Formats: sequence, C-alpha cells, structure tokens
Amino acid sequence: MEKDAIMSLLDINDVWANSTDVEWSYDTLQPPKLSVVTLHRDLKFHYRYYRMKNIPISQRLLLLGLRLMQRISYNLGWRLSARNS
Amino acid sequence: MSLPVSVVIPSYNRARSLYRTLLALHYQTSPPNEVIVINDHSSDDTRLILDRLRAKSLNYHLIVIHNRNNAGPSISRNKGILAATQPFVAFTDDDCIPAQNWLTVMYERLDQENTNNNAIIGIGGKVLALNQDLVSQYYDLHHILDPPSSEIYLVTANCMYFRDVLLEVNGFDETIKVPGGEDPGLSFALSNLGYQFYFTQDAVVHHDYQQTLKSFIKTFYRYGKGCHYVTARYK
Repeated sequence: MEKDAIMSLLDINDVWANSTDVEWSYDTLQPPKLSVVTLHRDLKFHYRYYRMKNIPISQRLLLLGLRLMQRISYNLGWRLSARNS
Repeated sequence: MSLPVSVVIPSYNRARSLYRTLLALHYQTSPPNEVIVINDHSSDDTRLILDRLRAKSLNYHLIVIHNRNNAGPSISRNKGILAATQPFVAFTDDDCIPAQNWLTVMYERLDQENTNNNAIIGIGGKVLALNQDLVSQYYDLHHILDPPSSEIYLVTANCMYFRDVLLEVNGFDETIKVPGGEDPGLSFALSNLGYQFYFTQDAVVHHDYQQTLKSFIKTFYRYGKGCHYVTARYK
C-alpha cells in the first residue's frame, strides 16, 4: 500500500511516516510532543512528500505552514482536554 | 425505487450548502426513502430553504426537526436516529455533496459485507475536496477525513450504519457539544462491542471545506480536543 493511502487523522502522530503497516491502537491518535526535533522531522518529511507530488515550491511552503498549524492546534486541543479531564 | 435508508444531516447556518446537499440526494441514482434534517437553531435562511424544499416534489420524504437551541451535532444526529424509520441510517454533512451513486454503493456494499460477516455493521466512503484552494488541497493530500486503513472509525461526512446498532449504543456521545471527536467516539463504542466497519473508495462525497486559516486552526483544535476525550473514554 502506498504511504499516502494510509494517511488520515493518524498522520497527526506521524506513525504512518515511519511504517506502511500501521497497527491500530488508541494511542495512534495521540499527537507527539511539540518539540523542535519532531516538528523539524515532520516538516522535512512533508516537504519531500509535496515535492514527490510535483507541487510548486511556493505552494509547498504554504502547505508546510498549514502542516505546522495543524500540528500545533491539534496538540493544543488534545492537551487542554487532558488537563480538564 | 428508493432504498431503505434514512439520511441524517444536522445543519447550522449553512442554508446555501444544505440546499445543494439536499438536491444531490434528490438526484441520487437510487434515492433514500427519507432525509432527516435537524436545523440546529440556525439564524440564517435555513428554515426558509427547508420550507421551500418541503413544498416541492422530492424523490424522498423530507423530515425536518427544528432545535429550540443550538445543541451541537451529537444531540442533533441522535434526534435524527430516533426519528428514522428505515433499517439503515446514513450520515453526511450540510457542507457535503454526495456523488450520484453514493447511496447505492454504500447500501449494497454494507448489505453484502454484513451478509458475509455479520460483525460488519458500518461502512465509510471517500471524502474528496470540492474546491481547489490551498486548504482543500491540504485536506486531500493528507486524506484527513478518510478512515484509517484499519477501519477502526468512520467519519460522519460519509458513513452508513444499521439503525439498530446505533440504538444499542445510544447513538453519539451527547456530552460532546461541538463538532470533533463524536464520530470516532461512536465507532469506538461499537468496536468495544465487537462490531467492525468496512471502507469503500467507490462511495464518494465532496466536501466544501471552509477556506480561512482561522477555521482550519479551529477545526484541528476541536479534533485534538474531541479525539483526546473519546480516546480517554473508550480506551
């Protein structure tokens, strides 16, 4: 199966980036920490992914901006719910 | 001939796109027996649009429920499930346009898969972006609303269940008041009872994503919040 065929909300946890054979567990919805290292790795992976899809460079950068926004907002939502529970 | 399916659509302040959704259901190859719209206390022209459509001769029976206050999608969908009279309940959203064969594919595949394996009680389909803007492109590239390959959960933009199993788990979690997390939550509740889901690429719904950065951020913030809530609850 192609990597992009298994992406979904799970890609928030970037499990799919490391394996094409993702085993489900509830933990796969948990986002990784927002560290510089994880964000850098994720953005680097996506830059390559967008290039593979022949997306023009200007658009690639905008998509990376959205990727960053997705990671931050999902992570914040998750953390806030964890704090309130 | 109509299919034994009730389509449930909660709607809040999206009169124009709701109209398109209802027209798309009218033009289905095989229309549903009924479409249940829950107007979640909209302040736009939703009521007017629904009144006009009810006066027209549609290929399905249009049932409209008006909420007295803004209750959120979970409560609204549960009202739809209770009002449904058909053995199959399909869900889509008021910003979605189902392809012409959507319902036929969903119904036939679910019926067939359930015959082969009676643990399969739900089916999901493909959600594609309606527009070509950057946000829509992002959703498509990342397959955000596709179920995971393990088919552990389905999204309400494009899914169908047997009505009796929805009643068995009391539908959606009504403590979730805003969109985000309620659809995986339903699937998790059903999974914990041993039920399974099926996914077909052939049943397509086109989603009209909101194009602003603010709504993008808000959406994922809600997904994060909702996914944590349902994960903690059903894990």
